[in-house]
Amino acid sequence: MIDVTFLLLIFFLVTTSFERAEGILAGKMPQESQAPGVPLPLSPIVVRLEQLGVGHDEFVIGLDRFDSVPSGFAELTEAVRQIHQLDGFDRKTPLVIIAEDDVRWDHVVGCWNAALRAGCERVAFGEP
Amino acid sequence: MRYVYNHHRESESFGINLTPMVDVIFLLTIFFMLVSRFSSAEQIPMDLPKPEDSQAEVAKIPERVVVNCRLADPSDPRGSAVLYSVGPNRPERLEVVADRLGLMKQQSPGLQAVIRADRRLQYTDVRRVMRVIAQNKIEMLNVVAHVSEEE
Repeated sequence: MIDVTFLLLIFFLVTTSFERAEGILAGKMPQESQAPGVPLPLSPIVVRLEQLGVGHDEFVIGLDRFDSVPSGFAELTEAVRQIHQLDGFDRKTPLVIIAEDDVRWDHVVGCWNAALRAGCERVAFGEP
Repeated sequence: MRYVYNHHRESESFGINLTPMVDVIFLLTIFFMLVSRFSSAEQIPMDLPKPEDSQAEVAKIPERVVVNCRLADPSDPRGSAVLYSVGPNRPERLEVVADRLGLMKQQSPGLQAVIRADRRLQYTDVRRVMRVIAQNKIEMLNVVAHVSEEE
């Protein structure tokens, strides 16, 4: 039994890697058909991501039709929460992420995550 | 007065007491059994996005297809080509990936797509996959990111 335990111990020592677990951010996909897959109201919240330079953190977040220019994803979360308080907006208001081609995927996911943190129930991607 | 010495000495066997070591080994084995997470073959190692206060959840999706997007040369993120693969398959051209997705969608209409993409990729490289997913009428899109450290 001790031999088996030794073997088990060696197996787990070799195979274990202490990494953060993977999870899933769920969303809906815009369909490339004549009719839009999800009917959008007239005023979705549009978040734009623009890469300013080659550096990882050289990017800017913009919110169409709103004055706030969040400097990071925590501020974006707060800004979207404040928008949800305005008349005609709530958590069901779609949030559309429009990112430029050269924006890092990390930032796009960060934006998506920020929208989910703000409580957005409908997050979609738009074409720049 | 006579002292009688007992010259008869018991035969002593010198040995290491293995009991504490076995206890420690048992504890270590139980520890590793508890903390181990077995990754599936489709979880190709890559640098996944790490959003702050991640909302990503460890969820099991019954009908899913994982599309991996990773750098051919991780040491050169800007100059490297991008490799696309479906699940544990070898990297393929995006047209082949599209054909695979189309076939899978026909076989299981409720199919959901999961994109595992390296965080250093440009959005345009991942959007190509998103377009392919949309062309195949797969509505649900899931993106893999690291879960928050508290979980």
